[in-house]
Amino acid sequence: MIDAKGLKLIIVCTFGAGSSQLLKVNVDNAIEELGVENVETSVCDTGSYRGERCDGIITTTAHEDTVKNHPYAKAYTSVTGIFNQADIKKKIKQILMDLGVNIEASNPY
Amino acid sequence: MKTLEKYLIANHIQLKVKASDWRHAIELAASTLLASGKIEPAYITAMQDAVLDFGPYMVLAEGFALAHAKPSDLVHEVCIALITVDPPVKFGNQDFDPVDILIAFGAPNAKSHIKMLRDLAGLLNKPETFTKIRKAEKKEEIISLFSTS
Repeated sequence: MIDAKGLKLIIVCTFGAGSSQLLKVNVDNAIEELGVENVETSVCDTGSYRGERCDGIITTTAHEDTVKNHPYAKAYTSVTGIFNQADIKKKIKQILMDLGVNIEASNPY
Repeated sequence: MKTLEKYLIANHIQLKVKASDWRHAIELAASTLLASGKIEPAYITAMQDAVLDFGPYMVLAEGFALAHAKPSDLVHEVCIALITVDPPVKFGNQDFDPVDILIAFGAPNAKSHIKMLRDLAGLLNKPETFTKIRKAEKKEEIISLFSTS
């Protein structure tokens, strides 16, 4: 397993209640399948996400223009379909690498 | 009992109904939750307002929308309803319109519905789920699909 050293990712949607909860399931699956551990994921709404301490932000393309210029986040990604697991894995791999997690380039995702 | 099976009862399912537009589709889906006393009428308006105020982000996959509003006391207990609409209706979502499967849910607080949504994610992760919902003619087909998740 690759140690992400407690990186914190927040998943943002309008209310932090529906699509972000569904997306969190697939983000957590992707992190596990990428062989990465020690990542904290949580959901957040677009009204309060700016106050949330985090290293990276995941959202859907519908919210990508809303969710930016966060005071703490160093990386962002957005997914098109929240059930498109291949796309989610690709995006999660990229954001983890952007945040310094050493995932080998040979990883199929 | 599996969570989805517990919440998605026959009374909360309507198949191949006609909706004049997305607002009507949300109203139809939620009407069964209202009839069961799970939600206040204002929760239906709140779901429609969410689309107007925040855009059609709740269209999450091809032909599929998840209607809901912020958890609040307009919802008496965790609840979920499913409708299929024929013909499909447009929500204004560039990627996934038009919508023919609509799931509406309500939650009284931020935590109570998480387990249900996790189970729903597991089910909707399988592409064949959407095909099966679309083709369903009887409520029993939906119930059996949701009880095996």
